[in-house]
Amino acid sequence: MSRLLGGVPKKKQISWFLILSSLSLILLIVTFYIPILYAIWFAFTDYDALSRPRFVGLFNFQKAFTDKVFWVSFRNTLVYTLMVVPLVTAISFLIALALNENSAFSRIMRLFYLLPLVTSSVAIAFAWRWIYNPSYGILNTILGLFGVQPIRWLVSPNTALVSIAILGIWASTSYYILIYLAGLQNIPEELYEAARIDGASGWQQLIHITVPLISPTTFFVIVTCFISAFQVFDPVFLLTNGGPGYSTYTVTFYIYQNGFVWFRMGYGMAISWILLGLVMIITAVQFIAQKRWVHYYA
Amino acid sequence: MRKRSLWKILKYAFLSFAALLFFLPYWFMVVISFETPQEASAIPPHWLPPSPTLRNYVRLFTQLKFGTYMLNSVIVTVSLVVGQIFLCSLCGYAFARLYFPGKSVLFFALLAVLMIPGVMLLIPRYIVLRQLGLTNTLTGVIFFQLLSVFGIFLYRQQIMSMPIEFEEAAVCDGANVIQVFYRVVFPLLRAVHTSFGLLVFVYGWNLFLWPLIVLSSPKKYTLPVGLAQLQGRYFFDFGMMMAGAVVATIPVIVLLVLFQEQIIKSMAYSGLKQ
Repeated sequence: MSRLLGGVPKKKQISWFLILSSLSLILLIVTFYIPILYAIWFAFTDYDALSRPRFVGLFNFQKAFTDKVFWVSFRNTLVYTLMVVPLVTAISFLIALALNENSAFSRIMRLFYLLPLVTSSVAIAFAWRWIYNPSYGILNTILGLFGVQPIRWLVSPNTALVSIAILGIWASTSYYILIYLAGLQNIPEELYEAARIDGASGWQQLIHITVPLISPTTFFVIVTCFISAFQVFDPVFLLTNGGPGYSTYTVTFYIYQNGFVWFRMGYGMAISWILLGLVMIITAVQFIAQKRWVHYYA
Repeated sequence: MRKRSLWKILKYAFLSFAALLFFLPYWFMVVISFETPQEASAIPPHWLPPSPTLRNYVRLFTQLKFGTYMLNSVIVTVSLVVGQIFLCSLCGYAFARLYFPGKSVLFFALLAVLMIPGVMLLIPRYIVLRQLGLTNTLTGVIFFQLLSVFGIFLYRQQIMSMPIEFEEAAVCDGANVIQVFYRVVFPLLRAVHTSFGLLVFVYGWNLFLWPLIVLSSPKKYTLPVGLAQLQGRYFFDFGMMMAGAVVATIPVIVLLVLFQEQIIKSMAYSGLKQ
């Protein structure tokens, strides 16, 4: 624990504290706490951005449970998350494992892997719009070499959500490679040395040292990847706009549509609360389940 | 020994193949940006532009307002970088070194907002924005993104791990708290300013959803928002879309190449994507 600045009387410290933190605290109230209070209040109203909000009780929440589009959005979000989270976790772990050496080759490679992390989601969407183009996109061109008939990636309701998920995996893996690389550096080298002296093979070291000791990082990756996948918006908005039909509607996209396209802001905010509830429940379940598989190295 | 080198070859092959998957979209982005619409829709796609032309880039800056978008993006990004470094270091210092009754409760109230998903704040923030009369202004874009809870946390941690003796010596010499902060602490935090500033730069430059909602007239658009409009106007002209994407991507890639180590470190430390 660090100690306080000596030589300045307590009373003065209080006023200095207020002076230094006042701007941040004002921003905290205006850009976080007031909006949250609004979110609570408007979720129980029929606010439409123009007329005065009218209190409607739990109507918005009841409406959501019988709203077919909400359920479709929820299902799509779940399917998307279940495709993205396991694959991102596995791929980023494998790449980080291979990258985890201090060589010039590895350093140059890292640069390629980090590209999506710093690229605007709009530029990424443009690149993938071309990749997915049914007639001259590169994906169908490559698949055509193997005799696969052209697939209408973003245009067909059967493949649109999968296409968004492939893009999601491509775009988010970079970040988790970094997290895994940082985690791998924390595993003490002596453990591997001891294992090698005992005659353990590379595979045994991986299974008995790396995998269990990296499990706290894996847990972090799964939880954060889940939370961000559950809120996927940009690729849906930019590539399919929810379509074709409702096949790529996700919960966040539905919130956006309600709030800023149809101006059903009250309803949109009620759905936001349902989303927050769902995220918190699933995160809590993950935290309980981790006790069974996460090993903390003391 | 032979088994080991076989593994090495396999590993490098895997790494190179995966790196290619990450890199190829960028390669084609650049190639197509130098092509005409006819060339851009060739089957199979060209690996190099057959007759490179700057037509798309010229049109971005003459027929469209890409110069304005870029300027707006620079204003937003620079304000966020400077503002967040300034605010977070000040506030982090207060939390690290000064006495305040109920400081830990306040700190918890600050950290608690990290749990709220960004989309939840979208609609209510827009309502506050309207009440403040900031719709369709860059100020509105900046104002609601200026507080970085992660940044305050980062600076507080860094300051707490620094020796306090220099600061106390300055107090003995008659400096007040703000002088101590600017003369002693702020310069010592240079490494943090760099890595945090890079993080904020990438975040601000790519910020999309919030400015999309705040800004309604093209002369206020930031680069990502203006870029997104391209796909409506030039639906099948991939040359234009890719040229726009290249313009938006170059600054961050230059930063990535120059500051790779710092970006890796701070991104990994952040433990939370914005």
